[in-house]
Formats: sequence, structure tokens, C-alpha cells
Amino acid sequence: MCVSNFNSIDYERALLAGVSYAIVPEEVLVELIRRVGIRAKPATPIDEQVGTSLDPALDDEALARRLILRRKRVGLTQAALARRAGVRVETLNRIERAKCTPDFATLRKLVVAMNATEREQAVAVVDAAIQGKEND
Amino acid sequence: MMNLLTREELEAKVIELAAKQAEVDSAEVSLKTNFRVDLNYDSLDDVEFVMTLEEVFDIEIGDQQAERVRTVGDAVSLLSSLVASAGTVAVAGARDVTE
Repeated sequence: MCVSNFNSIDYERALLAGVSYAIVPEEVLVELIRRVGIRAKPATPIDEQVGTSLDPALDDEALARRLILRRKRVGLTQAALARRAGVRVETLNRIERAKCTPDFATLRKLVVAMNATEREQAVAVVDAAIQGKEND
Repeated sequence: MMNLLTREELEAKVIELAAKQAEVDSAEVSLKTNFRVDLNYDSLDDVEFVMTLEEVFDIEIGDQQAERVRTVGDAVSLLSSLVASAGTVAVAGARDVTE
């Protein structure tokens, strides 16, 4: 997550084929664009895979790795995510240790909660940046 | 942007989205493609794919309905019935951030 420093949005940079690109979380970019009132659409599918081909037999472990990665990226503890998703923390703990296979409804609750958190963080980053600008 | 869809266009759209989730070319996906066996979907992919369908087609898919979807054809049939009952045959375009 990029950090809002009151009147700015800090971002990472990457040089590709001689062109400098700014890297910000997509939710932040989307929130900025939404506020400006223009349209934008992604040109390519998102590239988010842990490893390459997933062996169905290792589904629980692969799922656990992906969930942990995603939860940490959003900056939520197990307890916080469990609370937001309305899932028992013991259940989430067992899922992340690949000790059980979550049903569709449980996984959906977790994904919805993480998406909502990401969205809130993006709004907060943009709010803080605009607030800082107004206070200048 | 909403577009009316024929059955063939609905199939093509679902194939495109299924391929995108698995990061493979659409040409590798057909109605007979099994998400787990052929596209290596895990259960998180299942959930994200269903949520994508809900967003793109502006419908709600029940958890139990979603769990019964094994192939791309299953997804098309489910969507077809849900879209028909919703009284619309429409698909959202790319993500519209001005909504």
C-alpha cells in the first residue's frame, strides 16, 4: 500500500524499456480517476499468480499461501480479517495452515472483506492527499 | 456501457473471463473446459471468477449454485437462467470507474 503523506501520494517507480512508470495500487488509481470524473479501463488481465501451475492435490496449501499473501498485502491480521468477514478466527487460522478446506461461502466472505478493506484504504489515501492539499 | 448479448456472445464472454482468471489464451477454453482439471483453478479462483461474473453481468449467484459449476458450459447455463430471470440480457463493458 502506498502511503499518503498528508498532501501527497507516495509511489514506487519502475523503468521499463526506457520509460519511467509510477506504481500505485490499482484501487488508488481508480479512486483518483473516479474523482476526476473520467473513464479508465485496464488493457491487460491482472498478473497475480503464486507459482505457475497449481496441482489440484495441493489445493489447500496453495490456497493458504495465496490467502496469507493477500491478507498481508491488505495489512489485516488474522483476527481483523476474521472479524470483518464474520468468520471465526479459529476457522481462518485452520484455513491458513491448510488444515481444512473452506467452503465457497466462507471464502467469498473473506474475499469480500479484503476487497472492501482495499477499497477503504484507497479512499483514505486519496482523502488524506486532498485534505493535505487543501490545508496548504 | 451495457450491451445486449446473444447466446454465442454470452458464451464467448464467459470463455474470455474464464481464460483471464487462469491467465491462458481464450482459444484454449471451450464450453467443455473443466475449471479445476483443465484450468487448474483453486477454490480462491472459483470465488474470484464467480464474483467477476456477478460484477460483469450484474447478477447475484448463490453459494450453492456456484458450487455446482464445474465447467465453462455449466457457468454459461447458470448465467443464462439467471440473466433470463432478471429480465435483462446485458453485460457491462470494461470496468467503468465513473459509475
